[in-house]
Parts: sequence; C-alpha cells; structure tokens
Amino acid sequence: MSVTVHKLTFSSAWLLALAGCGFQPAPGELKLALDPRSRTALADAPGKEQELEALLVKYFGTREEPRYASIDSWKAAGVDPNQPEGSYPSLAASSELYRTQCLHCHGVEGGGDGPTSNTIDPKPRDFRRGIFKFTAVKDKSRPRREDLAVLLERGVYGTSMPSFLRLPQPEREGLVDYVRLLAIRGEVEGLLVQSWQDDEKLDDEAAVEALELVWERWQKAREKVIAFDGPIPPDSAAMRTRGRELYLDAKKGNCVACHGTEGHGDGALAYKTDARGRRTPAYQDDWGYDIMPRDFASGVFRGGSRPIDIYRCIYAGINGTPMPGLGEMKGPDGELLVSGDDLWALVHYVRALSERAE
Amino acid sequence: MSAPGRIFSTDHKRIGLQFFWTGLAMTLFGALSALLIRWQLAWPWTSMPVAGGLVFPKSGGVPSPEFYSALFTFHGTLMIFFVVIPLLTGWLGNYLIPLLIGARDMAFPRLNMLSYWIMPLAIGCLFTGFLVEGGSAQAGWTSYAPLSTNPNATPGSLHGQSWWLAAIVLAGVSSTLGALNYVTTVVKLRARGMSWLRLPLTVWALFLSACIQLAGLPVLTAGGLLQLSDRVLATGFYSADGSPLLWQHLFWFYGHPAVYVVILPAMGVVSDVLSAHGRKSVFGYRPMVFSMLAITLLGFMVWAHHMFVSGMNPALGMAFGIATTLIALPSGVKVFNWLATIWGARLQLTSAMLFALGFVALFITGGLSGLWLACTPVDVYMHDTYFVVAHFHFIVFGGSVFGLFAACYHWFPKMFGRMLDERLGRAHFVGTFALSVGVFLMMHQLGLAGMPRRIADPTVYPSLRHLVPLNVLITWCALGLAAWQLLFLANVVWSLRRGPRAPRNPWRANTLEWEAESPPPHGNFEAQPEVERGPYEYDPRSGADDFRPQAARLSPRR
Amino acid sequence: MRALVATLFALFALLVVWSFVVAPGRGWAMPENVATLGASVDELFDQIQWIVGAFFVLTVGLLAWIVWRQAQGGGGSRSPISNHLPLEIFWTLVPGAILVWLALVQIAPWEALKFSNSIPRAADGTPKPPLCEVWASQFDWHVLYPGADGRFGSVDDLHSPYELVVPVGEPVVLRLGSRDVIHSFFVPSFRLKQDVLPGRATLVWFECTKAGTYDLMCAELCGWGHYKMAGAVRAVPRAEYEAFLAHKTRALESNGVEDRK
Repeated sequence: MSVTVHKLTFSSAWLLALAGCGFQPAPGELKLALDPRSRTALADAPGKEQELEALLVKYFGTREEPRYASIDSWKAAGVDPNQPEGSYPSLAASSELYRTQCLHCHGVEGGGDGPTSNTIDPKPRDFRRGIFKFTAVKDKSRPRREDLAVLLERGVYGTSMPSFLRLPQPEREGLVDYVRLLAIRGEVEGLLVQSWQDDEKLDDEAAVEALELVWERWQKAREKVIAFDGPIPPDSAAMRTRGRELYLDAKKGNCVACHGTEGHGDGALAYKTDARGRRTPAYQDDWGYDIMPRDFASGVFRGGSRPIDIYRCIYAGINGTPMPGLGEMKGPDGELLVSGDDLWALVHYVRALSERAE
Repeated sequence: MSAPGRIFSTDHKRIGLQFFWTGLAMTLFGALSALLIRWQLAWPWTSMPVAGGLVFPKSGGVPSPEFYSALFTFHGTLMIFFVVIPLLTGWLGNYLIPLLIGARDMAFPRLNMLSYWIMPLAIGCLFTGFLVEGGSAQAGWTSYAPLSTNPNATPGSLHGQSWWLAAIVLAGVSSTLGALNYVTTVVKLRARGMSWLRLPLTVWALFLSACIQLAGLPVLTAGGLLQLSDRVLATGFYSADGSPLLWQHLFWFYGHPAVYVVILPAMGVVSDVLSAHGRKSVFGYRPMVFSMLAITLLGFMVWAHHMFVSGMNPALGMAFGIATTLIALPSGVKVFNWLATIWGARLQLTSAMLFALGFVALFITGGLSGLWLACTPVDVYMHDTYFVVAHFHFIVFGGSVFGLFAACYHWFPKMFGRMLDERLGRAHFVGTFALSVGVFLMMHQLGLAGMPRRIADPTVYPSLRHLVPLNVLITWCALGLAAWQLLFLANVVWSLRRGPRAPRNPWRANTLEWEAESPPPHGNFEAQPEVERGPYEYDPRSGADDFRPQAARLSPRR
Repeated sequence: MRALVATLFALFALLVVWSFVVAPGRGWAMPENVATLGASVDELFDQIQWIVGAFFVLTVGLLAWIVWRQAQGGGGSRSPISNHLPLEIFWTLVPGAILVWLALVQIAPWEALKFSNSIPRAADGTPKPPLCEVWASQFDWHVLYPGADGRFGSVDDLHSPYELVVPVGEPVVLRLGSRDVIHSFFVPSFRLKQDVLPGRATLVWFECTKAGTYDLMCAELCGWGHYKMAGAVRAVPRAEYEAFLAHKTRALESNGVEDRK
C-alpha cells in the first residue's frame, strides 16, 4: 500500500478521534420503582399499581427530576422542601450524586437492594421504612437532618458504610436531602398501600394526608434529642463495678441475657437451638434479617464510641432492632428501672468491656 | 492421514492449529473485556455498551463496581493463560518444534492431543464463573488471599473464584504436558547433524520456556490447590492466622518465570524473522543462547520483586531488588544483538519483518521502564500504579503479541499453504504500532501521577481528576486498536481460501520447515533431513544466491 | 515504506521522550514530594531517567536509522558479519557496570524506608511509639489516636474516620492494621506505600516537610470498593495538631446538649 494511503488512513483516524472529543456517553434511564411489598399487596387490584406509581411521581418526581409536590398546607406555612439551603445542591444534582456514590448498595429507591447488596453483611439500609438505627433521638422517632449528616461524616464503623468526608460538605448535605426524600417517599408508599387495603382509597387526598403525616414525623425529631443535663459522670473503678452489677441484674439492665457474661454478644437469649443442637440467631431486625447482640469486646461501636453515643443507645434502644431503651423504662412499681448515674455506670462498664487486653 | 480423525488428531500440526484457533477466539474475549475496562475508566458510571444492556438492565446499563473487578480479572487471566501462553507455546511450540528440528512429530503425540483437549475444559471452567451466584472471580489474575479465599470479601469469592482456580489448574496441567513433550522432543528427536548450537533460536526459546513451565507450574498448581482447600475445606493456609504472604510467594514463584515463558518464544521468533527477512545471520548466536539461558535461570530468582511492599522482610526486598536489576542485562544484550543483526543487512520490509522491528522498539521501551521498577525505593511509589500496567503491556503487547503477529505473517504460508496479503499486513502493522503506543505510552504518566491499578473510577481522588483527558485519549486509541485488528482478521479469513498458493519456501529461508510442503503432510518431510550447517547462513551482499538451507542437499533445490 | 517505517520509529522515540519531559509541567508526573525520605526516591528516579533516556534514544534512534539505511533503496552497505567478541564484551560489561551501580545505590534508601532499625527514635534512643493506628477495612480508613493515656484500645481513644492528622516537621510513626483483607497505605506525596495485612501490625514512618492535605489511596485490590477507599493525610503545625486532639477529647465529654439546637 502506498505511503499516501497510509497517511490518509491515519488522518481520517485522527479526525474521527478529534470529532470524538465531544463524545459524552450517559447512563441509561433509571426509574424509581415500587417496593415489591407494594406490588404484592396490590396484585389483586388491576391498575392500582400504575395508579400508585403515578401518585408517587406526582408527589415526589422522578429519579432524574426529584421534587416534592407543593401541597397547600406547606404553601400556607411557607415550607418548600425543594429549596436547598444555602449552597447545597439541588435534589436533581444530589440524585445524580446518589447514583454514582450510593445506588449500587442502597438501590434506586433506597431499598437497600442495590446490585452489590447481596453479599454485604450487614445489609445496606432500606430507607423506605424511615427507620434509622444510629441517631440522637428517642421514642423511635425519625432522624434529624443532622443525624443523617453525621452518618455520612462518620460512616458506620464496622460495616460497609464508609465515611463520606471525601465529599465536600454541601454535597453531603444534598445527599441527606435526597435520602430523606427517598425515605419519605417510601413511607408514603407504605401508607398509601395501607390506605387502599383499609379503605380502598388511593387518590390525591390519601396522598396529601400521608405526606403531611410523614413530614410531621420527620419534623418532630428535633424535639426528641437525647441529652444529659450537666457534665457526664466520669469513668471510675466504682462506676464500672456498679455498671457490672446492673449489667448482670435481671431486674435492672439484664444486659447479660443477650450480650453474654463477657459482653461477646453470646448471651442465652441471643441464640435459638434446634432439635439437633444447631444454633441460629434468635432475633431478627425490623427489616427481617438475622441480628446478633453487639460483641463489645470487638471494640467496634457502629453508632459511635463516645460515651454520649452509647448513652443514647442504652437510653432509647436502637430503632429497628430488639435493643430496648432503658432510659424511660419503668418497673412494676412505677419507678424508672435504671436512671441517672446508673445509666452512666452501664455506659462506662460497656466501654470498659471494649478495651483491648494488655 | 493416519492420525485418528481431524478432531482428536495426534498430529502436532493439527494440534498446533487447534491452539491457534482457540487462542484467537479467546483473544476476542480478552479484547472485549479490555475495551469495557477502558470504557469505564474514560466515562465512569455511564451505560456500558454490550455488557451494560445485557447484565445491568436495572441500573440503566451502568455496571456495578464488582463487575469492573470481574472484568480486569477476566482480562488478565484470559490474556496470560488462555491467549499468549497457548498461542506461543501451544500453537508455535507444537507446530514448529518438530519441523524446525527435522522430526516427524512430537515425542508423545497422544499426550500432545490430551494437552490441547484439557484447554476447552479449562475455558469452560473459567466461563462457568460468570453463571454462578456472585459472578466470576473478582480478585485479579493474581488472586491474593484473603480476598480470594473469604467468600464475604467480594461476590466473586463466593463460587466464581473456585471455578477460576479449576481453570488455572487445568491450564497448568495442559501446559505441563505440552512442556514435557517439547523438552523430550528437542532433546531426543533432533535430525542428524542438528547439534544444539545449530538449533534455530526459536527452538531454543521454546525449549527454555518449556523448561520454565516444568519447573514453575507445579508450584502454582500446589498453591492453587491450597487456595481451593482454604475455600472449600476451610483450611487456613492463607488466612489472617495463617499466612497471606504464602500465597503471594507461591503464586509469583511461577508467575514471574511465566512472563519469561511469554517473552522468550517471541524473542526467538524475532531473531529468526529478522535474520530471514534481513538476509543476514543473527548476530552473536552464542551470546543470544547464553542470554536466554541466563534469563531462564535468573528468572527464578526475582519473583519477590512483585512483593517489595507486601510486608515481607525488607532484607528479602533488598536481595530481590539487586537480582531484578541485574536480570535486565541479558535482555539488553539481546537487544544489542538484534540491532547488530540488522546493521549491514538487506531488510525486506515484509509484514513479518515490520512486526519483528516493532517488537524491538516496543520491547526496548518496556524493558527500560522495568529499570525504575527494579529499583526498590522507586518501586515503593510505582507498585500497583499504572506505571506497572504500562511496563507489562509494552512487554506483553509490544513484545509477545508483536512476536505472535510476526510469527503469523512469517509462517502462515507454511501452515496454511496460502500467502497473506502483504499490503494489508503492512497497513496492519502501521496502525497497530501507532495505536498501541497511543494506548500504553501515557499509562506511564498516569502511574507517575499516582493513579492506582484496578480502580473503577479514577475521579474519586482529587489529585487524579486532571487525568481524565488522558484516560479518554487512551480509551479512544484502544477502540481504534481493536478495530484495526479487523485488517488482520480479514486478511486471515480471506487468504485462507483466496490467497495465492504458497510455495515451499516463499521467504527463501534456511531452516528445516521450509524443506517440507506448504502445508506439510502428516510426517512432515518426504525424506528425513540431515543438517550440515547452522540456521543463519545468509549473505546480504548477494542477490539471488544469498542463503544456504540447513538441510543437506539430497535432491536439486527447488 | 522505508521512509514511513523509519519515520514511525523516529516519531515514536520523540513522543516517548516528549511525554516524560513535559510530564511534570502538566501534572503527569509525581506530585511534589513533601517527605524527607521521599527525596532519595526522587533522586533515584531522576538518575534512572537519565540512564533510561540515554539508552532509549540510542537504541530506538539506531533502529530508525538502520531501517532507513538498510531497507531496500536505502543505500546502506551490506555486511555479513555475525559475531564480534570484543563488541559482545563491551555491551555486556558497560550496561552490566551501570546495572551493578544501580543495584548498589538503591540499598541505602531502601534501608531507610523499610528496615526496622531505621524507625525514628525518641529522645532517649528507643523507637518512637506510633502516633496513631490506621485501620484499613472494606472500604474505609479509620484512624485511632491513643488519647491521653497513650494506650491504644482504651476508653480514651480518639476516632478519626477518613482523616489522618499528623504534626508537620516531626518524624511520625504509624501502626497499620487491616480488619479484613490486604489493603495498601499509599500516600503519593510522601512516596510512601505499605501493604496492610490482616492479623499483623505493620509500622511505617515519615516526616512531612510541608503543611497541607494529601491524598491517601488504597493501592492493593481489596474488593469492589477498592476504587473509593480514599482517605486524607492532613499535616499541620504541632499547635494545630494538639488543638485537633483537644477538640476530639472534648467531644468525648459531650453530654448531647449542643444537639438540642
């Protein structure tokens, strides 16, 4: 082949390459789908699935263009959750960030069912119940925005959820807004399915009612913060001894029943044993997965290892799990089971259990 | 022919061609996985062509991160164990060794047939990994434990990794059987007069690479079986309580000499092609042989240069660093001898010659980049970055693959009785050379800038975001390079049926295979050749009478 | 064809040289070195670059030249000489000497980087204790400071996910651990890399010379999230480092009241 033909081939190849400079492939289309449980519940009612989907699109937008519908009561109160605060990105921008950072574990709708979720243990969170384990609030309340922001900052140590401090703070806040939208959408979806099952109502009125109800739940979180008035009682040998007493006492903390005598999470109640003597976890979490009590000796506290973090777990329990809250639990005599300094004694004892052996 | 049938033939030539077609088919998959990798690096988290729609409909065609791990694991494994080694040793080794030494067939024809047929089994195991829960192996072709042994560490380590191990062990068995054959054949079945120092360098190279396989593969097989045991029998050889480093040692003890298996045959081919198409003897035949011997021996003493930062005793690092620096010497000597070979030659710029010359240019580049890597403090920075990827792709693509192309253009007439189109071949060379430089050169810079290997999205790190345009450029060149190979495929397919019939000795070369018909019948030669001179007696000064075939003249030369 | 091929090889040689020469100006080279031990790495890199560059230009240039002259129509002389012992000795001994020099010159820097007797010493001559533990897991870097009692794994430990804060201008020793598979602690700006093995503690040390924030990358395939296992090393003056520790210590004493806002 002559030199000319070679050169022509080359030039055309480079021209093609230069033309390709503007080439920008895109992700394919992604749709916010229905929870499989909703599908099951609406399976007998033809057309209701589509109606539910349409309602959700109307009130929450699509994956590419997520937005809350502006309902009357919000307009009256001057509430516009679509407006990001300050320099935070829009919901649409956060949705795209969610797609590249979160979706492969947490799934398109935040159902904890992304492609990678199959082999992760513990499973990624399913946002659609609105239940979050590690927050600063009590009474099984919804989390505050700040709780979600802290989760993104700190990660959940001991799980596959990393810290997202590598993202700038405005982007993290934008993700909080988007995750909140996914959670609220999931809760509204659940309420609408309930509304259909109870009253055969699946319309705008039901949707607005559900949205207002769920939104209120999320707003109430601010009032539910667990805090301790005054400086926290310091750690000491006496505190740890008292803590151990309460830990072992079946009428007080009774922590030993699940967490075991040395805090390895292997207490008597943690397992059930079948006829052949095989042990399986006795408890499931609210999402239906097997759950074991925390092994304190591992030194890993998923919800944070500061005394106040552990205090909050003991005070209010852990939402979504069988861990009960002792802070406001009353005994048969109407008195608080464990209170004040005693709660802190438990906190210090539990933290002591997590210390590494010398 | 008397060999039983065409499918289960024991004729070394048919077996060689079976390796050829299988290797070619595996190249398509290897190239496809490479293109998908490049797509993700240039345009992360976009809809991936072909694989996206098939495998990830629920995420808009966007692959999951573990799929990316599966891709580069598949790419590396396929290219090394199922493309380059089978093509160089299975195709060239099987086809050429008996012909070049003047034998009728291999020493063990039935073992030879078995060594081929284990390969489809191995390939089947590898592909089965894609069908099992969790997908195929995702721990890299290096399969470090405990990522590869702990089923929770990555989805591919659930089941796919076991299928991967089966594939590797089977491929190793195939290679071992082949190597046994090659070594025995070269030692015992050389024609009369074919002394060791009259062997063409291609035979030396194939013989030495077979020796490497025999010495190294048992270690890989044992290590692989230990890993399988960890996975299936819950032993703890490579666990945190055992020794994760043990896997690395056992793997690299074979894995490093394996790269010499991958380059030596190509070096041998290049020597023969430069000589025949340059009408001049290889310069420094004995130094060339000694260099290959040195590479073979020293090649077993440098494996832990893959492990400088692994946590092994740094004193070991020092020893291996010194040895690795010194192993550059025999390869350097060969380069100088190649240059001296073509100095004063009469170069015919045939396709074969072009690829041989391209080999020299690209092998020099890859070899020199290895000097930085051999220097242990510098390797601390470079290890597991794209600098290493650049280095070994210049060697494996620029070296082994260019050597394979040279071999194909040179021996196609003998193997298929047809000539390949030279114009297409030359165009194939020019584009392949330019585009492969486009793909692999800037990977040095990516690595220098700190871009690690095996990452699905380089934009995560702020310090790497400015490298996106380089990654895009490389991807475009890779797409072009893959497309350009259509010239070669078209040439092969068309020439098989429609190419001009090949004479016995179209290149007017000296070595014994050119005495036989094109293609040779079962039994190869009409009469057993007798050798009366070395393989490289060419004279670039003469015209028509510029070569002296190795075989003694028993009948008038054609 | 002869012209095309010779030009191709010549252009190739020029392109390779160009890519290395312009690399630093375009961010295609190693980031600025900010660690004391990194200087020897950069020096070795440069020395090797000269050697490699010289051999590369010599051999590939020669290749292009020979193609130009010796291909049909090139007018080069033909000579059948196929061996020359003095030449073989020359091009074995000269590169050999260079390689021996290279092999020897890397020993001292390697010792300083990795040998356990090179670990920075405290004032009393004993090895400096680790400033913090860095725990690698799938797919996160988690830093643990020992707190006031100086003991790791006690209740006053300070946790720092993602961010490793160190004092600038002082030798720092880190203890690395993995909670699951093999990871690798890679800070390009420090020229520092060390694989982190599960079940084993590994020590690394450095002295950062310039305050700033530097990427921490994982450099050993550790699973599907390997690509996003990012961290940051923030080197700050000693006073700021103490303030960072004090801030984290105060957070330990939090009673949660500030969250009521």
